[in-house]
Amino acid sequence: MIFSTPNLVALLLIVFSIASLYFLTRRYVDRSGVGLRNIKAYEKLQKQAVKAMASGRSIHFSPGRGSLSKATNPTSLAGLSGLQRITEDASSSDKPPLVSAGDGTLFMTARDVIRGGYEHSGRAKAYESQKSQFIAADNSPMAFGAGVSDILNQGEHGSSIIMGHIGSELALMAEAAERKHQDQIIGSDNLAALAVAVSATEDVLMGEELYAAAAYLQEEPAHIASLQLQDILRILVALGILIAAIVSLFPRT
Amino acid sequence: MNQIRQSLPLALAYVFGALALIGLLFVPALAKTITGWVGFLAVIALLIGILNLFSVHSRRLVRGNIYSGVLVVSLVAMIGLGITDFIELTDGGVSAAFKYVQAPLEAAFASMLAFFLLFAGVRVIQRRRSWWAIIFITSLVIFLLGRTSLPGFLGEILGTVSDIMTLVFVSSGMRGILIGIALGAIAVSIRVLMGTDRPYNK
Amino acid sequence: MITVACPNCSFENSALSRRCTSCGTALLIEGYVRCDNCRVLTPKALEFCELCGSYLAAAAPFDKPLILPSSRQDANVADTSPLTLPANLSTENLPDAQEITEQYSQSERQDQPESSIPAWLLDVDAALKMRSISEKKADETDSSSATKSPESKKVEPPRTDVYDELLRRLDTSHAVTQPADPKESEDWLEVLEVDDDNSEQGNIEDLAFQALAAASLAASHLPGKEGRADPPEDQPLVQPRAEERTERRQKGSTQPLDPKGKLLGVPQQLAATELPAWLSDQLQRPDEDEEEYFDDIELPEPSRATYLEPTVPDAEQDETDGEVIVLDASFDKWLKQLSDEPAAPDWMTEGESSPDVPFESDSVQMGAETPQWLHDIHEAEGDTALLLGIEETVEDSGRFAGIKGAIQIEPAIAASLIGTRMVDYSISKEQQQKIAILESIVHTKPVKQKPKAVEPPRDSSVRMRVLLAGALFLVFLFATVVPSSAEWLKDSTLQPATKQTEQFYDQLMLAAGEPVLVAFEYTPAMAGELNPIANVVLGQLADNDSPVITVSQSAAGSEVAAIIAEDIEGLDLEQLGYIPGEAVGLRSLAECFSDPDNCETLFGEEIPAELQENLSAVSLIVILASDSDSLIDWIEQVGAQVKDSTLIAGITQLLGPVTVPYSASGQLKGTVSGFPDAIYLQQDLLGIENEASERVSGITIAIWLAAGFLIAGAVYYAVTGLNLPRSGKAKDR
Repeated sequence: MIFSTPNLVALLLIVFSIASLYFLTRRYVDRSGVGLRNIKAYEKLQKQAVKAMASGRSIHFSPGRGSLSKATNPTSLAGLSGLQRITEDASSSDKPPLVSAGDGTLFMTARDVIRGGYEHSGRAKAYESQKSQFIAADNSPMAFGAGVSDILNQGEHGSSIIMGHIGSELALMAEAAERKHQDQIIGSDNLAALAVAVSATEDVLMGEELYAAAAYLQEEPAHIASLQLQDILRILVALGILIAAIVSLFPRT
Repeated sequence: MNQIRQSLPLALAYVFGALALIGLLFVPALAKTITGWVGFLAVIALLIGILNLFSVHSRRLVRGNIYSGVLVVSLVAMIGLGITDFIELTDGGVSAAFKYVQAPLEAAFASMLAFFLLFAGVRVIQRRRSWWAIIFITSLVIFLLGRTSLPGFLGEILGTVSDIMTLVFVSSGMRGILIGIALGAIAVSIRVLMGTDRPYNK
Repeated sequence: MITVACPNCSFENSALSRRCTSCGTALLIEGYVRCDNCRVLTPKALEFCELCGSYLAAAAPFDKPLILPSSRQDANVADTSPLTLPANLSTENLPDAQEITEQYSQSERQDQPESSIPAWLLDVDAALKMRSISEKKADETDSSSATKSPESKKVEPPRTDVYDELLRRLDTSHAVTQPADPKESEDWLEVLEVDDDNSEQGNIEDLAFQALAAASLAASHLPGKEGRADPPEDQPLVQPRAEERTERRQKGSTQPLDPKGKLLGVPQQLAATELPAWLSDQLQRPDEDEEEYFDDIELPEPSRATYLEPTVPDAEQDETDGEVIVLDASFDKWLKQLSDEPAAPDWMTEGESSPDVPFESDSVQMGAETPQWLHDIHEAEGDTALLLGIEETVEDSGRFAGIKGAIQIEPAIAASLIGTRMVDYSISKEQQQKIAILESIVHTKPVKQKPKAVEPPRDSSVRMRVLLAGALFLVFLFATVVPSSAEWLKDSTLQPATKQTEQFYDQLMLAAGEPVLVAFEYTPAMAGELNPIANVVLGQLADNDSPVITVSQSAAGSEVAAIIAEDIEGLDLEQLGYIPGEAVGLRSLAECFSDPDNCETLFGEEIPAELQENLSAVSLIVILASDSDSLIDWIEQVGAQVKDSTLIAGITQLLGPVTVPYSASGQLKGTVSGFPDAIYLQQDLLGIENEASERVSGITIAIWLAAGFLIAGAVYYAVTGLNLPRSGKAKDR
């Protein structure tokens, strides 16, 4: 049981991933030879802070309701990367972003990210703790959706960015943002949410595009290397599926 | 001191990441223990979140927001019911509140999704005039009508097409998205285990 | 009395008046300025006040030529820059002495317009201005020219012909003759050398004023004193010491006069640090002569300076025991000169004042050397006093003994100052109002303005939303109100997935009598779609007498399970409750299935023995899930470990495609997907009749309505192109 095949394969995969990430990070230290395809949603996200300053309407950001203590941890971390970038860009304006979190652990981490963004910009004194708030627990998705839609319905925000684990309650938020003519950038790992997001806005981050947030927004060598790692693993998975499909064609003896 | 402040969370991340990995793979008891600790921290974080919720809406109540007042009163009432249930002053108070208040409210919100999704579909036609929007609307209509049995050959055709769409395009697309999500999650998790991605030290 | 005419009514007013006595007009007369000292209106042409003699700084700019008595000369000035006569000045047109004197005197008078001043005097005036420039140049070239030997200068020979003629005319009695060699001449006029650096401006003014000074001296025709030898004919009027002349020559160009505050055009000899030789010779008498000179004079004893005491100076107080004000050397000399006069008039020695007696130069034996201009000043002062009706007394003691018009200082100094009460600081009402306004601005806290939400443009889609929502609502209402609609649409309703549903049913029936684990992985939001499935499953399990164990990965799921279980009669229910940790928790739960001995506690909760036994005997696991994560966790974490148990799932229609691979691989033995499958399971397979079929008809009609709206909208917007950008992309807001 302990040293079962699945466990060993999992361990092997983890070791391989760590080693690949390490060597790829060293390779991309000088960030040369890296070409990332344009993702419209990230391009628009980078302009949101400027737009907020120009229009006088702040940004609403929601990292979703994925708990950091559950399997939604990577999705929430990807959303926090976007929050970090937004905070750093908007910290110098008088319209700081408003952050709504749907989980306690995510709420505390988001608050820390915001404060770090202000410190990174050298405006630690301008940090307001009231700009991040807890809406509902992760096991009350409709309550979370209703709370966020209420915030968006107030009309004080010019854009609504949702990057994280979120479900079909996204429809409530998207409708509220649409009524107030707010720009929307949505990224989720939930299929139902993606189906809603596609009909609400063109700026959708589907699945793995959401996990590339750090690479597009922070452009650290490790983040770009992780994209390379994803590509490698994807190739391996595709090869595995292909091989399995070919093998399955042959009758078992 | 500053270096300790920055190094300690990283060291803890290294240690507990390795322990959790070893526990998941080889020592289940270790994983269970760590999971228990995580659950405990999650509950504490939930309490902090509830306190934040209370403070935010209390401030809004002072400024005259009535809906925030309803929220504050509801929050206090539910906490009170939980305490009274615990001390056996009441019996099933929380369950009753959940059954007669929360459940209907959540169901009502969920029922509104149908309207919002329909609005969004019409808006796609209204605002985007592209081949992708046409494909989107066409597949949507086919799937909706294919689930029902329309009279005549139209029903058969639509049914067959919707089945093929579901089994081939929808299933494979969903599977592909899920695989991509899984791979992305692996990459992010590896970054956290290696300490290159530090959400705790921003 | 000096009067000025009013510019308005021509009334003659006193020169001291500020306004016309007749009409009240301010006496601002063009060409007149007020003396800073006595405030008397004085013509601008005059450089000095005609009343008090103060220098009119406003009238005469510093660069205009000024003539001052010797007492006002700057002792430090030692300008020996040569002068040149104007080119047009020749012996033919050289004015005579009388004319020069008169012209010069006239130029000083207030009543003479400037046009009467000779042209060459005007040229002199212009040259003075140029002189200041040249002097600055001289400063710059001083260092270079200083190294030059005097011989290296290009010296033009003086115009001896003009000099000679000028001097001849000015003083024939003195028989001043030009020395044979002009260069060696010690005549103070001939000390003036042509300075090449100043050739342009020619120092005309110096020569002219010196000439005039010489003329005045000559005209005064200082009487020679008996016993005194007249200056030899071959001796010049002024004979500077040889050493001084040599020194000056060696120095080269002299230091230019600082035009600012200094007086340009002052005759050099008069501006010298020492008196001219002729004057100093007169002053420096041999002791025996001095003694002999003063034998007959009974000089008054210098009295004590009584100006410091607030008393009228007593004539008997003739002792000097007070502080003596030290005046400048030239003034001292001048006074000494006066006191040394051999023949003081009686009124000076007797101490009697006779203010009515004009001061006449002829009657004042001040010595043959007293310059005429001094006489003129005295005479003018006397006249002025008479005009203004001021009685001037002659001082009989002190420093100013014998001087008329001395201002009594002591009353002014000794008078006790009466302190006037300062005006209380007061604030006017206007100032108070300003203060109040300023305070209100400064101290008022700005009201924090809440940002006003931008009013969005009128949304035309509101009508669309209302229309769609109303239509859907009416459809559901219709289906509910009209039960027979189900019959009409029976063949057209949503078709269930029969195969999967039948498999589900089969597995459900196979687990009769055996413990069944039911996982409620949905929230009340999805209760509308999954509660029918849950009711069917629990109802059937109750009928099968299967013990049911409920579990959930969320707290809400446990409550949902409790709510549903309440309505099921005869159900043997045990609630395991909330399982934290998701995958890890499920894995731990799975161990209870395979190894019940290690399942005494589960996440800190003690599990009863009966429950442990049931857990170990679980044969069917029913997963009721609304999200894919929970479903996948159950399938991959529990289904992979528990080989002896069967997994079936009741899911929403959304998760139907997600379960296809698991169903195809056999990990899921059956699924009930959504409301139609539930109806099929309940009514067709289990034979239970309820109102669920009516809801299906409503759903079917709603789906048709939605599809119709979408098709209509697509056709409409495709044809009209309304609100559609040409680019085909959504508008960026």
